[in-house]
Amino acid sequence: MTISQSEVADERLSAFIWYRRGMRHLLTTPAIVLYLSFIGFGGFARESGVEIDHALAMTGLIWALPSQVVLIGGVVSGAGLAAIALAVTLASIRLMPMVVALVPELRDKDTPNWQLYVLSHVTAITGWVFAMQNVPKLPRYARVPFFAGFGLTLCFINIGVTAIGYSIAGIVPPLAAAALFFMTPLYFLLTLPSAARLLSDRLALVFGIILGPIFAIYVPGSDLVWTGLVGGLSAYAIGRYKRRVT
Amino acid sequence: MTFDAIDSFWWPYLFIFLAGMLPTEVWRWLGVAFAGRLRDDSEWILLARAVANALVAGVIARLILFPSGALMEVPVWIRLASVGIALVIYFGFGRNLFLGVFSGAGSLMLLVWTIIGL
Repeated sequence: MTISQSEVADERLSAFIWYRRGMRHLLTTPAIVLYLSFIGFGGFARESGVEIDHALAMTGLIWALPSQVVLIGGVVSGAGLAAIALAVTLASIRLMPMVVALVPELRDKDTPNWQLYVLSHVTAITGWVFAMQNVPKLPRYARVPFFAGFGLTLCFINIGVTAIGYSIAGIVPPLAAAALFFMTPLYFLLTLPSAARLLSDRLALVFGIILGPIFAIYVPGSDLVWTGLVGGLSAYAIGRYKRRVT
Repeated sequence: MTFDAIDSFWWPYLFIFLAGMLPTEVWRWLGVAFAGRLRDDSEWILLARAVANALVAGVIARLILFPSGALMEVPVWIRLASVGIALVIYFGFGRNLFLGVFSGAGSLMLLVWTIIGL
């Protein structure tokens, strides 16, 4: 998980070397936990009656597990295209502030925009947490190829992992499946505090954990939007006040 | 227009593109476009970070308390106890992520197996 000293050398290394260094993190705990989640998704897709080609297309094209689960849920319920598109839109609003926060960490002075658009596709929670944690330790020029090596390859591998999950669905006992689903939030919970450097970031995590379930009960459907707005805005306001005072 | 409205090989892919990829991707594109206009130390970036962290934390709480699929069958108190065990192991072993995650998932299975007997 942590970046060794040798990776922060003074001499300028080629982008390809940084790309491969990003790939080296594909056998770390966050990547493994994500593989297990996509095993779970493959099984879920099969149980829902989705064909394997379509399940693989969802992983590659959408690359956001909550959106994929919402899409399959809609397909199973027989909902129309517009209704499902709206539900997926609501389920993925979080990606915008995540990308806004990540781009300044990733870009160098001369990073072309198209590279940022490509990398935004592989920005989902796992990649985001990984990047927010590891990328600031690297020299600016190395950040885009490093994150590309991790993020693009992670997405590609998980298309295969979805296929494995699809094939072994039914063999996995329900209790093991439950444990698989449990690993993802557990991993996020343990790793997020180390990616949160500022006071406002840390407060936002605490507020989000508390407000999330409350809004889920009182305003189901738009609960995440409210959690983000109320939790994020108040954490930002407190952080700004503290910065002004000290 | 439902997922199986048109009987052809391409329709499901078009459906996945229109109903799944586009509504997700649009937020990512907006994020890049928005960040492109901002300076790196802008207050808006700090605000976006706070909102993103709150949203992700909200997702975590929801995945643990209101899960879907097989995890729904596991009682809430077992889920919360397993989170507690994972936290203790994680910090007890010098922030070892692997031990933390797998001890949490392991205690979930063990608790269900010994107490409910699945």
